Amino acid sequence: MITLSMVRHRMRAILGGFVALTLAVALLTASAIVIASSLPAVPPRYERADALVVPEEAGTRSDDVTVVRAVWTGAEADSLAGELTRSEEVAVAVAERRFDVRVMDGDRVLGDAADGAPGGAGWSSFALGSTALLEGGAPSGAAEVVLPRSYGRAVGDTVTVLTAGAEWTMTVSGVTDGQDVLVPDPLAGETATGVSVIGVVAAPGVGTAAVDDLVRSAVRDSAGPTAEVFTGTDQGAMDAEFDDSGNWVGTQLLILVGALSVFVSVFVVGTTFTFQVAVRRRELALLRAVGATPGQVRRMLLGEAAVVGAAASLVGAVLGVGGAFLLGGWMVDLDLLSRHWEVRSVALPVAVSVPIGVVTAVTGVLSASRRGAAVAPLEALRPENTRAEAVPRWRLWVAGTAAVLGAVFAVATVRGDMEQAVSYALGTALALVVALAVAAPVYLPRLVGLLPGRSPLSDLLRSEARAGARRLASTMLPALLISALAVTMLGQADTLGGAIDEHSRGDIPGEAMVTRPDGGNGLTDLALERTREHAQGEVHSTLSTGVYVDGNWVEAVGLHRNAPPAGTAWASPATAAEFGWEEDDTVDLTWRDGTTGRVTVTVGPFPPELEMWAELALPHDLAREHDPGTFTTAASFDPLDADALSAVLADQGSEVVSTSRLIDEGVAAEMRLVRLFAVIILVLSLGYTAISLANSLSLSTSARRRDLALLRVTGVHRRQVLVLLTAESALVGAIGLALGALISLPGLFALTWSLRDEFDPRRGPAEVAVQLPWADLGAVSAACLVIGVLAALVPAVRAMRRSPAAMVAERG
Amino acid sequence: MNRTLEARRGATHEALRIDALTKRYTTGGHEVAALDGASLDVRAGTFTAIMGPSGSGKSTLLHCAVGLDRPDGGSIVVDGIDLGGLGEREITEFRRERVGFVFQSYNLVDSLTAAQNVLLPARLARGALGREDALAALDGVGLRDRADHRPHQLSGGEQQRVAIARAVLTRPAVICADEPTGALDLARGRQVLDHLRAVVDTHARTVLVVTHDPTVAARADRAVFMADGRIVDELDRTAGDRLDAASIAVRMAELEEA
Ligand SMILES: Nc1ncnc2c1ncn2[C@@H]1O[C@H](COP(=O)(O)OP(=O)(O)O)[C@@H](O)[C@H]1O
Ligand SMILES: [Mg+2]
Repeated sequence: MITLSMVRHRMRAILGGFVALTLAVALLTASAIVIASSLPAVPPRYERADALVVPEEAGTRSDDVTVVRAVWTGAEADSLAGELTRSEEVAVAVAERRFDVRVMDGDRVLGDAADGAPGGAGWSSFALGSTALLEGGAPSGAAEVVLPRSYGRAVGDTVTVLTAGAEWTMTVSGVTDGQDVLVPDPLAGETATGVSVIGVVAAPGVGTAAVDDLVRSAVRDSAGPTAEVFTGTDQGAMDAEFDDSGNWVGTQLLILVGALSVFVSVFVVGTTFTFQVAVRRRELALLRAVGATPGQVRRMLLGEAAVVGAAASLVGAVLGVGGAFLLGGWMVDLDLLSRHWEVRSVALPVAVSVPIGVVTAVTGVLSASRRGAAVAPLEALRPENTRAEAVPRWRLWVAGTAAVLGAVFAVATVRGDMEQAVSYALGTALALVVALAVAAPVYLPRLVGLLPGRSPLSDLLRSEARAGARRLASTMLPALLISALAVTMLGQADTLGGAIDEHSRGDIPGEAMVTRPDGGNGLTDLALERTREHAQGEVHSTLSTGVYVDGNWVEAVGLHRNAPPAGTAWASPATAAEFGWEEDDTVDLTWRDGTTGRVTVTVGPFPPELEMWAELALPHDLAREHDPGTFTTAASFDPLDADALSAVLADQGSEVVSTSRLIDEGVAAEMRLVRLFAVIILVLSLGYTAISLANSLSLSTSARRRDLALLRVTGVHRRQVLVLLTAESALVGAIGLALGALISLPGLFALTWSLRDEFDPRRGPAEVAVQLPWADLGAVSAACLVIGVLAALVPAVRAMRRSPAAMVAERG
Repeated sequence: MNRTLEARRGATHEALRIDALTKRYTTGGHEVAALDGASLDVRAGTFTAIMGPSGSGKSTLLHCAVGLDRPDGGSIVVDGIDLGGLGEREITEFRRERVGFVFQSYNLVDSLTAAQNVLLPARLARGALGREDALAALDGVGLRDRADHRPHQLSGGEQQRVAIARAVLTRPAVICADEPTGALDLARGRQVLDHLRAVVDTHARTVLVVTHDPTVAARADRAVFMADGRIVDELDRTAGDRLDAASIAVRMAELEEA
């Protein structure tokens, strides 16, 4: 009861904490919903399969992350699928034929450039997915195709279907709500490079466990590579294996946003309530005097926090659920989430976010409540702020610990790779923020004390700082946090951008490249032939493929320029050493299509453009023979006549672009993402700053009303009071900004050290300099100062509307 | 507790026994003895005024007496309870059950109404008292119609009277007031004083008031004088001393000269 009437009475004072927490919980809920809805999942194309069988793992691609599996030949896969289909319990088993495809309407490419799995498959794959046929039916004969609705064609239209090696004029026989281009099975069988997955649909009424057993035993007895079976008995593994949504970038952003908003709101809520306790000392003392035990005071404060926290969390959760749709849609627009993203999970994220909100509020108020309980009853009789504020020892301990943590993070930054370094550098800055924030009441009055000048104004500023160290500290925190975040995140973006721009341009030969008009990679063999006709010298084309040696993946590339003699392979010295190959050895290997063969190898160092990623080079034709389903990744060359070439490439869905422009765009795209992260975080933080500053300054101004009134009574002009407040706020803000910038530097310098080894090792450690976007930082600082000054002035102007006498007469 | 027993106890018991209290403060390196061997016994059912020059230790004595502060030495027994033996929790409970007090100003919690303020100690003690009791107490100080006003809607004198109502609600052994009229004008001060006097006369409570004002002290049963942390003199009506404003003013003047 008492708690409730106090909360009601203090609604305005608690508003800041409430708003901050509401926003935090809203963001948290929205982020959590979007994250939970973008967790890995089996894509729609396999959604109806009860079991998915894939060959064993064979290694990783040159990024060291993407797992590559072995492959079945068409015959091996068909025999396994056939055997499965014959079983009573299986409705159908499909050995999926998948391949790169591009559908043209004359010179126009239909559909979007989508990363992920190649978009072409045989019609039989349709049975594995939850995709629905919206119009028409299965392709019959050899010249019919089923297209996704997004291609914008209707049944009966004629389109040109391009694969790496073929060009078919086809009639649309059906339209689906899926993503795949489905062609008659015989065509898919000719085109695909081996089989990478067999999907099994169980007969009606057959349980998951039964399918699992059945498929496992069939697979055990089959020919070809060992296989792995995924079924609903381990849905998580199945989801993780087959997910191709590419949501991880967005998810990372959301985790960052969620974590930061919790961090920041613990901060804001903590200062709100700490401040509350400071402002309410007299009231708490009075309660103690009339008989409230320390425990009752503590419980009352915690109760207030819990009430506010619960209310804020519920409101926040409601906002967050609405926000999740907006947030998700916006991230889809920015390509941070798959185009097929939709809200899938709400209950769990809400159930997690609301308690986090309440716990955040209670955590924020824990130390404040302990301090409140320690208020002595006699303080009810003493005017505030005359008490000498002893700085508790725990502040120094916490500050020291946080500083050490910051140092540890800085070391981790230097040692981590690029991605780790970025997070650790942020960690360094945040740890130092905590250190400086906690220690602020110790050093801030001393810093303000350094203020030169003998004017009454500066005297007043200095003594106010001594008397109200904690108040000043809490008004400095937002500026400190903002500045640390801005300098760290924008600094990282620019430093990274500068480093990538300067050091990662690589060694792409030739002035021009061939790409899809809408971005995206891949060119047909016909496009490649035409390019070679229009190039000066041989074209540097890369058909990215691979072979298996003793079951191990070897990253291979099919070349025209620098290609080894027809029918032979060229191994890098490292690859030769790994497998014990010598010059002119004839070695056994398994091709990308699952067939085995022998090839003679030569050994020699790779040119720079290949050295960073390829292990084995093949003549283009040999690579193509064993990998018919894959587009050539890229072609770079010196064009004879770029426009003429573009004209003849149009019907292949390709065009000529200058290499440097393409690289600029690539770097820009990468930086756009980093900057986007930074900007989102900054906008969030500025919002928080506004809230918490408005909050703590309006609280402190009302607490200082009588002081202000006394100044007025003793003959200080209203304008002078406002100047004093402006000066104080600006000074404290400037100190916070400067300190925030200062503590960001260790992390940034650590990042430059870490980046030294991130680029081409042949050139030695890269020289990376810290780069700061001064204009942006200036704008952020100015915004922060303006918010601070306004937050100080608005309540003061309001307070001073009344006559000084009335203000003095007002109760303490 | 039945009435005859309480009356007898009131007649024979000392409501408050203070013996050889000492209390020192160290500020800025030099030591001040706020209390330096102060001793005072107060009979139940009497009105006692404490007077003395500023800084003589009056407030400190009063704070120690109601358990708001702890002395460095000496003993305090209130209503038979020795405060020296109480822990923080017990002394808090002692405060809300055995004593009531009224400060010079800032007596009420801003967020609570007059009635809620009156009821606060009882609430904190989870006592059985309810709104009716609070209204009755407010009635006693003539403020029943202001029960649902919040402190900022009340004048200074009315706030003091609410504080008196709160102080008497739990029927404490001793009610202390530290310059309760110090911040009020003459008429309002008199009103507050009337109510304090009534606490003794009609409720048979024990009241201890610190004051600078000889006219206030003149309405007490006994006036004690403090200087340098000790009780140095007294005028006791029951012992036959003249207790009027003039003689009190003379004593005060003597003290201040000394
Ligand atoms: N909290 C305190 N800290 C330091 N000195 C104090 C404190 N409280 C009282 N004193 C000192 O103790 C002495 C007695 O104070 P007090 O009891 O308030 O006197 P009175 O109420 O008679 O004016 C004074 O000298 C005063 O300065
Ligand atoms: Mg006093």
